[in-house]
Amino acid sequence: MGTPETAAGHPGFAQYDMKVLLVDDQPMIGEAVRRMLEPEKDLVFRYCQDPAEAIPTAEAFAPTVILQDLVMPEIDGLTLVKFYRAHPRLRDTPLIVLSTKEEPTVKAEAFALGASDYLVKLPDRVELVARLRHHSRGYIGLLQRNEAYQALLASQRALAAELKEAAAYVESLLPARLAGPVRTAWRFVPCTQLGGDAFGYHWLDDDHFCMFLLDVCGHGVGAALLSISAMNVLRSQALPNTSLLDPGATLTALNDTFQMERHNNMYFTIWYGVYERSTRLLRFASAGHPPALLVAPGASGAPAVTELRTRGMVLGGMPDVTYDSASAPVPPGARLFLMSDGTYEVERPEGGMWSFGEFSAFLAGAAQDGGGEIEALWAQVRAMHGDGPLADDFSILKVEFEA
Amino acid sequence: MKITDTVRGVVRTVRLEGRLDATTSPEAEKQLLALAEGGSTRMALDCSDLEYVSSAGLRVFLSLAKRTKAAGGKLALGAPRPQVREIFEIAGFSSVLQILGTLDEAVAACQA
Repeated sequence: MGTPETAAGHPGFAQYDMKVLLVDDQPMIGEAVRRMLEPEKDLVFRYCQDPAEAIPTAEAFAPTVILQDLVMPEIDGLTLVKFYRAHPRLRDTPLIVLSTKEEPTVKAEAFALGASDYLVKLPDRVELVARLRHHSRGYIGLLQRNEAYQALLASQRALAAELKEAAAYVESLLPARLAGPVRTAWRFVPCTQLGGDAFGYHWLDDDHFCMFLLDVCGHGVGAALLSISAMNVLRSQALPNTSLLDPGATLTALNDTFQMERHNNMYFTIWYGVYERSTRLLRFASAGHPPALLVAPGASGAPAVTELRTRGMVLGGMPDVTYDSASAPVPPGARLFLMSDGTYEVERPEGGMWSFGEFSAFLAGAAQDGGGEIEALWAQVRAMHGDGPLADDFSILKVEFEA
Repeated sequence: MKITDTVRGVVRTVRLEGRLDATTSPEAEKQLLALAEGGSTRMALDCSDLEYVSSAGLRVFLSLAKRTKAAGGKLALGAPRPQVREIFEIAGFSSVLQILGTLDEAVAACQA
């Protein structure tokens, strides 16, 4: 029995024949049943006279229903019922026990041991055939369901393996944490196996360090593909005629490259900045993205938090939009946080979400406590949301500039 | 996400109730675009009961804004809740559609 192809040419599930195995020490019964089933051309019949051969015959024949005589010399039918039910491959096969009389106690015992049905020999042909077909159909249904279930498990495992590989690829694209003139820390938690957030940073030249964090609308595989596409364009500095030193020009060029109608109606938000070491000046531009937070030591001890963003709309949303740059000085000891909205738009079990203001205050508070802001934030988000995956991707990047 | 609409003069006012997220956006987009295509080129959206807009939800407003622009019509949002207003603000949507404090102001903006 191989796997037949369906009309569409796809492999279908196995087809099963209805197979009846009769185990009875009286050849007369064997012959009577054979004659009753003879007109049923789709039923395959096998007769086993020797009860000692019942199990091996059933193993080889793989019946869809077994007719088992109860009273036999040497082996008692009920004992065979026990054996069938203990056998791994015969455990679920429908079992009709055959008795010469209606005996309630014997019936009860047969059912208790696992018989599926009880017949007094021999019912008329129509009844016998109906019962055999009914039980066979039920069993075939079970076999097909098991097969479908195994196929589903196999395909889920294959898909999970592929997603894991894709997620590993995305991980490999994320930049190594830096130490030195610029120090970085980050946390990236996609809400499904593949997320729509991406970020990166690298030195453009000896004096300029660029950083970005982007968030594709939605999440999952489609969003991840776009996020990687955009990330790779920035990493490989592949925007034509565009200086990556100019954040506004960079976003303008990115917007033209990634118009949503050409990318399955997806847009993304982004924050992009360039830090100039010699002047400690940070130039930046953002498109529909939450502001970056510049946390600097304050005069009175409490940290000063500045929101850095420009008024630009989401990237890919509208064509022919010009994005402007802005700039801010970076005081000594300051740290910059870039994040996606998944870090603060966290649903509380009792309802409601953090506002950006509350989030900002929390981060500043954590900064005051001497660092470890990202860990503190993650613990807070987990406490607010509880276990289980978050609703959106959680990405946060911290950059510290040498004093 | 519940959408109901009435007419105030030449302006169709559309009331959005509930959350506009990945689950509710496809249906909401269908309904809103159907209204736009049905000849409503001047639409004022009542956002007073709009609880939340995700990025999928923003996409719906973006499609609507582009459709309205292409048809030479007017689109205005009225009375968004603070959190929703903040979402629109950050997404930079004020450059593509007008966001007013009340529904009446939104209707007035569409009549201009």
